[in-house]
Amino acid sequence: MGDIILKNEQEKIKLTRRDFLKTAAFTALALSIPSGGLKLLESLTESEALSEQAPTSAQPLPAYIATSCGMCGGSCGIKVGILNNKPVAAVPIEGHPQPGLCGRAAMLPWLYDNALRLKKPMKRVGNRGEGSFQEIPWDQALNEIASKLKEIVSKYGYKSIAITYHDCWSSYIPLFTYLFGTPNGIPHVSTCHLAGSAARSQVLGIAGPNLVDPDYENASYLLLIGRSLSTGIMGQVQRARSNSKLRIVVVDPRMPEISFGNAEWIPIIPGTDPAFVLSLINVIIEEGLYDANFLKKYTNAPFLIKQDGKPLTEADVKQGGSSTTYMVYDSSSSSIVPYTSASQPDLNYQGNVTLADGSTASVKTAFLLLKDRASQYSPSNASKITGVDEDTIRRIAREFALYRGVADDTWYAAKNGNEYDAVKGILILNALVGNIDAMGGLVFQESAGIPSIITLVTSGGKTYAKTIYGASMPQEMFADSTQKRVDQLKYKLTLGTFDAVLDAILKDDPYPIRALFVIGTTPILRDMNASKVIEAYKKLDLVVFINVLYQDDADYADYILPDTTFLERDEIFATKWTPHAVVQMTRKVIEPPEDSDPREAVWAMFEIARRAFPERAYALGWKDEYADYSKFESQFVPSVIDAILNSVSSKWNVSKDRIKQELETNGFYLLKRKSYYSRPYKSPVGTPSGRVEIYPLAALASGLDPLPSYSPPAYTLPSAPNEFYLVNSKSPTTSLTATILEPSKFLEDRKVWMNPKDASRLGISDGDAIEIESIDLPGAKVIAEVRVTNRVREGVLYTRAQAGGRRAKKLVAMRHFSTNGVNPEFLAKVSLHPIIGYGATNCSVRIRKL
Amino acid sequence: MKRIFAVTLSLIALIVGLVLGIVGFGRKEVGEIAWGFLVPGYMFFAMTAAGAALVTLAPSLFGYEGRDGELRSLRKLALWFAAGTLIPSWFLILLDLSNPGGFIYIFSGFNPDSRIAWMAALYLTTFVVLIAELIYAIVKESKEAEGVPKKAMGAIILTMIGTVVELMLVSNLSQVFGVIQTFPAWHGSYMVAIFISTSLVLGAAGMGLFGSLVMKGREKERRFITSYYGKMLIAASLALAFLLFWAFLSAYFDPMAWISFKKMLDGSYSIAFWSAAFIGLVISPILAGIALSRKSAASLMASSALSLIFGLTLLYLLIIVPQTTFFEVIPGVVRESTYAIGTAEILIALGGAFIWGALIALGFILLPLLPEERARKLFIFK
Amino acid sequence: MMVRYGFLYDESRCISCYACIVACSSNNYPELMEDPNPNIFWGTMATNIRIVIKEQGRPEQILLSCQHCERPPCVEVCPTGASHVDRSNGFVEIDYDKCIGCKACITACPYNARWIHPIKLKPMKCIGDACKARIAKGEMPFCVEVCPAEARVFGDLDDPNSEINKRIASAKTVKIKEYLGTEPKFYVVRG
Repeated sequence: MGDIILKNEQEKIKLTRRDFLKTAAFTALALSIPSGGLKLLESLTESEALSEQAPTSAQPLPAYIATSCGMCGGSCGIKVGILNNKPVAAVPIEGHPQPGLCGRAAMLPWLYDNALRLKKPMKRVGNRGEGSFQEIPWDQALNEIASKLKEIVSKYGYKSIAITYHDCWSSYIPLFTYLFGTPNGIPHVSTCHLAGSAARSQVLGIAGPNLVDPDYENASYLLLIGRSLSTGIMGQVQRARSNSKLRIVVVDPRMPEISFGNAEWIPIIPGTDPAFVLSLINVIIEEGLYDANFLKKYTNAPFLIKQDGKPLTEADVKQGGSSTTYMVYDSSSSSIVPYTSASQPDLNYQGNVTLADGSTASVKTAFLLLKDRASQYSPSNASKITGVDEDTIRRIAREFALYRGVADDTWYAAKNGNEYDAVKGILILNALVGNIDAMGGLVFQESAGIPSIITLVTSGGKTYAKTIYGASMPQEMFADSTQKRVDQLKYKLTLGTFDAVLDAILKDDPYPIRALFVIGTTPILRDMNASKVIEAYKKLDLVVFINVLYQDDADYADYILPDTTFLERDEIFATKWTPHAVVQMTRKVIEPPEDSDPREAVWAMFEIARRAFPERAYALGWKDEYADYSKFESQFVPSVIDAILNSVSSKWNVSKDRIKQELETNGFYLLKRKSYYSRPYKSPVGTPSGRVEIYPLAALASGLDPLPSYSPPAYTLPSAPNEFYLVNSKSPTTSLTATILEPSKFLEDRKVWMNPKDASRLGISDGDAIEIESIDLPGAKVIAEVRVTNRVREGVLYTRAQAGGRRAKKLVAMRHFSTNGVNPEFLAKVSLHPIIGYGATNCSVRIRKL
Repeated sequence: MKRIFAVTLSLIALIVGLVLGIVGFGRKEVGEIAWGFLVPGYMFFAMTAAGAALVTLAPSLFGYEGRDGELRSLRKLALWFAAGTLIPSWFLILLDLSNPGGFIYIFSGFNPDSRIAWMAALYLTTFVVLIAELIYAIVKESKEAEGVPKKAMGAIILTMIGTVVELMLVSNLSQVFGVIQTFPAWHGSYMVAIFISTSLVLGAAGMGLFGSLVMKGREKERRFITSYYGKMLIAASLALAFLLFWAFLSAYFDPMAWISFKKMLDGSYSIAFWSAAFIGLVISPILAGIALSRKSAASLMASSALSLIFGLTLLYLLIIVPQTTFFEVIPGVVRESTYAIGTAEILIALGGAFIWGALIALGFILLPLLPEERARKLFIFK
Repeated sequence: MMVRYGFLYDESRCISCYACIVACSSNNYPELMEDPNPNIFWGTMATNIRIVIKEQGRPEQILLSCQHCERPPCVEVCPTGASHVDRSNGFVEIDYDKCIGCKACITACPYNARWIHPIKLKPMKCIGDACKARIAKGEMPFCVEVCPAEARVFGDLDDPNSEINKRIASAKTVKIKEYLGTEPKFYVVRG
């Protein structure tokens, strides 16, 4: 090519490129080059270019180790690539029942030696909230915490200690409560899956969000209401996306990420999901699209319900009859018989029954009651409530029934305060089309049978708290631990309502709490009315913050203890988000960074206990030599893992070595594949009747309306032109850890979304700053930038949760991007369901353009 | 003594320029657009150089050299001005590269598809031809007595070659941008015409200013310069005004290009555009007209200075503004970028300006550029 | 062995988790992990994948990287021949020894698939070194390996049995800005 202008090769000048550059500035150089000499330069530079070429094989490849991800609570199966003694890459484990990977996991190379990492124990030096700390040795930190604890316990008793946590170390929390003699180990669930868990345990007899899930890979129609799928566990996404026949419909005020791809998005008015679901139920019942056979045989739809709402039992109709034998009308014998002996239970029976005492009761089937209830939510009525047009409601209902759809049972759903009804409706919807535990339906997880770390056993008339690794604590030592927790004293059905802890701190209601351990969680970004959380922190006598990174709550801690990351410890547990019974491991793939000294929270808690209440620690199997962290790692941790392995090995009759070996090479061991049509078909579900209860008797017993209904959200509804709903959710790159790592600056959307119609109505353009004030918490204001997008419904603003609006001093200085945007918890008031104790993190706001 | 002082001063300016450039080079940062101020900066020098040579020498091809050969007597001045102006142009563009030393790879790996590769070749060729013309003129004239130099056949031949390569240079420069489909506002057939007329405006203005300055105290020459470059400036400015109008009109019917042009008319760049257009296409021609009618060198110098500012601003807008709009891979989505001149660019451009001044001054001091001057030392020096 | 690698991005499956972007970044540009502004040109991370979102109408998203065109405008404008098509694998690559950093390729790319390294001040693009090392070992590039939604496929377009050819045969694919005559080897399944 060069020949075109470089014709003559007249001169030969011996010059290396370096000499060449050294001897002449480029201007002079250009001057000095006669065009004939260029040819020479060509050969000169080309030969040099060749010699400079690096060998292509030089790129070193990381070595991969199978483990589990801990960037969020999902624990997906990943392989971590180690190169030059650093974790540099993460890839999914092929064939894993819950394989990674999402944006969060991909960020793990940033986590390992991040500047925000807590490296040494720290003690507060300024006031709470100032964020001034000094590093102190582990011994000093543990001693000081222990002596403070002793002082608190001597004044207020063991139960004045509370522990709040999320997923991290959750299996050890029961152990910690026994260790410190308190009942108050209180998780995050009131702002997460509590409403769903209450509904699940009543309708399906099983609480946890992961114990029942849609069979994504075999489903044909997936209805996501209050669930986006793209937010969390990528194994579910992978199963759904590998299913080419699956149609996905998402009902959400904002368009979830999954709707960028194949997933129809139905924008709904926030907090109206129960009305939408009831309307689907209405269409399915009115049009006769339900699975009558399933309802009759496997649900309590044919149960006869008296006018007081209670089921007609054998005890009602027969002297000495059982009060747990529910009666149905058998159309084959035209008589009212126990549900277990009816050959043709009638779904539509209503009539009068003569009771054992001679009185007459009018009864109706649960199905008819449901039908009546749903009839209040005809598509035209529901359309007015939900903002979804009638035709869409009808279409979705018909599609759902005809495709025998599955509606996701939700997860992180505490948004509007009426999710209990929504999820109950969703579960009933699945039952209506008979899609429970069916292939492609809502299926129960096969239990891996991982034992609890601590259980109560009775022997010789005495009760002991016995750990899986063989230690046991006598009853007299744990009297307090088995009492009701502060939240359970207030909310009968709660699994964890942290707000009750705040009341115990602030108002001594029902009794004082004075010491709080915050383990692997961040209540300021988790619980409604974050200002109340901060107020409570300020009143506590002792706040210990145990985590991996510096989070907002650390500012209020007295002591900060550095925890190990999931890359630096061993743990064994059941794979959470899979229908199969699987055991998997988190493995120590690397030593912590050289300049750091993190210790597992388990070690820290035991060491604090050993110094404060030695007899308690020893009773739970702690030994003085474990004070040496390496002994803890080499003896205590393996003893726990070994105990679990032994238990799994004997339960499944597989050799421990084989499980161990597979865990080491693949990161998981599949114990049992999902077998469909098991519950309620072959064995009962955990409800009072053993059936799927579309009319949940457990709800009735707790004073709740068994049937779903719609009530408006727990917050004041927006009414003025500048008032909006503010809804929130996480994204696939959101977790408390991930949102303060460097990549989050570019990947997390911290703008507040606004529909173009609202924006033009208010004269707001993309990128404008607005002030957002909570309607229910006057004075609670934040400032954020607007993103004008069709991804949110009119009248609704959307923000990420747990991503923006960070306020910790250290984050302001080091991760300024994380201070942008909104922490919705500062704007949401505390409004808890009186019986279940779950809250609403959505709220309504008034905005002002700045 | 005075001469040594002037040379020393020029050398200091040259060194200052180089140092500024090197300092700026070390401070370069990435911006939101790829080609920042140094690109229009280098174009400014290159087009001024080519334009100065074109307006001064090309008429001789058609037999016009002034009533008394006045234009012929400006030849050496214009050639040195052009050659000396090309150098800061390289300075800017080389320092805009991340690996300036590697520019030789342009020749070693010459890619004929690449307009930039051709630019490198054309720069060299233009420079060589300009220097050849200059040396030829100096050497030839050194054998003549003082006074207006004679006509020479060799000069005509060299001028022919020079005119062609200078036109190629400016045309090819326009096509560095014109072939790029990424930015529809660049991808237009009007680019060549606009570049050539801009080059003529800049060349006439540069020579008008430089000529008037160095001919201080020589009324006859100054009067010719005022009249000749004044006319040139008016003609080229009017041509450019029309071509710009034409470009905007064409762009109006091209929705994608129009987004960029509209930013100049009423968007974020409108103040710069309208101010520049006003001073370059209205005030400057009026001042040039005044210069013609009143034979006022001062008026012409003012006009020229305004036209130089206008030319630089116009090039800046033509290069920068289209880059701030990217038409995304999803139809209908437009990605907007912002640009502000960085410190490094200011330093390098300033360095270029110092070098420019120093080189022009050095040439004027050392070379026999005035009509009556003749080479006395080493064949070409005074 | 001569191969002609191509990519497929399935917009209909992508759930926008950005694992591909993050994995590309940490593996191919580890030196920029702590840089507060690693990619000012794109305004994002040091990564070869760019997020393109349409917010109006029916929202849409493409995660875009180098199209590995058969007739790449970036190669056409490169004065030194540093940008070139490696005919042994079909990749558009940069010989950094020859690259002078004129950024012509960056302006010429109609996909905006190149960005500027803040230290080297040279153009960066897919395919990164770490991914090339994986491909040499017969593994998938990082973006494909980590995708949880089966939204990315990579393979030899000349091999009729390759996964990518199967997907191209079974799904409705488009090539972006194909009308420019660039002949991209990046297939997109529209969502």
